[in-house]
Amino acid sequence: MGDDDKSLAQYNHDHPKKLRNMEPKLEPDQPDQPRYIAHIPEDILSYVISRMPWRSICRLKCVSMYWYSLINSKTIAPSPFRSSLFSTNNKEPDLFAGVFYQNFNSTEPCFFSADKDIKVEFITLGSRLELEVGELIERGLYAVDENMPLIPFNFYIEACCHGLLLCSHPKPCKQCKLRNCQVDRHYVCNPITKKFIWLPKPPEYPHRTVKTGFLVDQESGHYQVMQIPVNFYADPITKEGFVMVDLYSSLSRTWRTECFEFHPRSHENPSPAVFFSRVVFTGPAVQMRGLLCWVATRDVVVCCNVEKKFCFIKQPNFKIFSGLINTPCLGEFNGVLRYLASDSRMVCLWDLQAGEWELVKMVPIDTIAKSLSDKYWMIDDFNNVRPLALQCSNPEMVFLAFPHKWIMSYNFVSEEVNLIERIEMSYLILTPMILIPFVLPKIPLPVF
Amino acid sequence: MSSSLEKNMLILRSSDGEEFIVPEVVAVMSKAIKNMVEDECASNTIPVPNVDANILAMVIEFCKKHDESEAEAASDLKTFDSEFVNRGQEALYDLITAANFRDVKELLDALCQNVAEMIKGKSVHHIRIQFLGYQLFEILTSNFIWNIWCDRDFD
Repeated sequence: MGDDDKSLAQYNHDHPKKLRNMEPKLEPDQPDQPRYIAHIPEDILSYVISRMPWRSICRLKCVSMYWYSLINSKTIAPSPFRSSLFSTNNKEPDLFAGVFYQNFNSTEPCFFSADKDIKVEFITLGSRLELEVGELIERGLYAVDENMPLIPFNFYIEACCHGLLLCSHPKPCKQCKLRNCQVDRHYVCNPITKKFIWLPKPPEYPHRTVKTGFLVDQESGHYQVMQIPVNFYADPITKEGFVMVDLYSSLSRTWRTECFEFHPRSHENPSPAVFFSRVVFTGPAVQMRGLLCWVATRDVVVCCNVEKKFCFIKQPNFKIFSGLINTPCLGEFNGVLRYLASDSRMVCLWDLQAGEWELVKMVPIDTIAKSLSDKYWMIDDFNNVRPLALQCSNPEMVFLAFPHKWIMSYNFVSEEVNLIERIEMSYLILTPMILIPFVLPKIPLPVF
Repeated sequence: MSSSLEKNMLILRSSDGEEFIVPEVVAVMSKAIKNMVEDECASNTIPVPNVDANILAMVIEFCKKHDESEAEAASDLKTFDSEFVNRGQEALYDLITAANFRDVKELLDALCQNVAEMIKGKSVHHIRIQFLGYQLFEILTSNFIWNIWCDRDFD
C-alpha cells in the first residue's frame, strides 16, 4: 500500500479474524485450484466493497460470515455510505438522526429528522401506512424521504436500538373470545432496508406486559426482546422478590422464560410492583452499555440486563427546585446515562458519572422562551415544560413539550428552538406521548 | 551486460524466468520497484517473484499505456482501462495480486472498480457461486444463518 493512500492503509487492522474459521473456502491452498475473486486479500476486498453503493453492501453482508464480519468491522470507511446517503443534503453530514413519535391514541407514528444542517423535517407516516406500498409509490409518497421508507402496517413503535425498531401490531385476540380484545404481536424491522420479521408468540401469550425491552448487539446484529409482566412476586418484609420475564433471542429464535430477582435496598421503594406502574407513564427503555433503563416511579431508575438481576439507581435530587416536577426522561450518549427533568422554572440535565449524578446543564425556562420570541405568541404557558426525549446523536439536543401546545427541540449550546408539531390538548392530558430517538447506523443491521 | 543496456532501461524477470526490458519511467509506476531503484539495491535485472510472464506482460502493457497517454485525453485512458480490466476471473485475481504485491496504484484502482461493478448487481447466491466458488449443493446444504433473509432482495 502506498503511504499516501491512507484510506487503503486503514483497512489493514482490526478485522475480526475469528470468523474466518467458519469459512469453508477462503484461500486457495494449491496453485492449481481455481482462483476466485473473493479470495483476494482482505484489505483489497474491503477496498472493492467500499466502492459500492450502500444498498449493495447491505446485500453483500449476506454472502458469508466472513464478508459480514468484514463489512461490519468498523474499518470499512463510512465514506461510501455517507456519499450515497447524503450527497444531496449537505457537505459535511452528521449521522442521520431524528425522532419517532406517537401517542397512544393514534396509530400514526411520525418521524422527523433533527440533523444540524438539514432543515427540521416532519414526516407523518400516519394514514399512509394503511395503503399498500405499491400504491404509495404511485402516489409519489414513497419519495418523501428515501432514508426512511414506510413500514406497511399499523404499528406502535415500542423501542429503537442501533437502527432497528421493535414495533407492535395489535391483532384481535383469538383465545379469550372477547369482543374488541386485542393483543400485541411484535415485529422487528429495519426501516432502512424495509425488512421486518415477526416474532413468535411469547409462551404465555397473550399476557399483560408492563414493559418491553429491546437490546441489539451492535457487532453481530442479533437482538433480544424482553417482556416484563405485570405480576411481581415479592416478600412483604424483606422486599426481595422475583418476576418471570419472557426473553426472546434472535439467535435461538425462541422465547424462554427466566426468573429475574430483585433486591431493593432499604432506601428504595418498598413495593417492587410500583416500579412499573401502569398508571404512571415512564417512557420507553433506554439502552446503556447493554443495560436497559427505565424511569420508574418513586425516584428510582430501574436497570436490567438480560443476564443479570434488576438493579436500581436513585434519581437525581430535585430538592433545589420548586414547583411541580414533570415526568423525567432518560437518554444515552456515548455509554453515559442521562436524565432530563424539568419543573416550573428550570430544565435540567444530569449525566451518570461513576455512579453519581452530575448536573451538566441547567437552563431557566425563561431563556427558552426568549429564544422563541418570534414565535412567542403561540405559547402562553411556560410553566409546564415537559421533557420528552434526548437526541442520541447530539448531546446538546433535547425534546420538550409545552403542555397542550407544542413539541419542540431545544439545543443547549446554540439555544435554538424548533417547534415541531402542535399537539391537541386532549392528547397530552389523557395519554402520554412517546418520543423515540433514532440514529441511522453507518451500516444498517440485517433483521434476523 | 549492464553496459550494453541503455541507461534508463530496466530488466524485469518474471517468476518463470522470462525477462522484459522496460523503460525505468514505466517500471517505477510500481512503488515496490521504485523503492528498489531509489535505494539502488537493485542491479539492472529486477526479479519479480510470484508474477508469471503472462501477468507481468499485462502489467507492463498497462503501465506503458498510462505512461504514454499522460498527455492524451483522459477519456481515452478510461476506455483503455475498462477494456484492459475486462478479463476472466482468474486473470483478474492474478492481476490484483500482482498489482497489490508490486504496488501499482492505478492498476489496483481500475481493477477494484471493475470487480465492484461485477459484484454490484448480482444476487447473493450468484456472488457465492461465481466469486466464492461455492457449488449450488453446498449453498443449499450449508448452514448459513443468513439463508432465511438473504433470499429476499434488498433494493
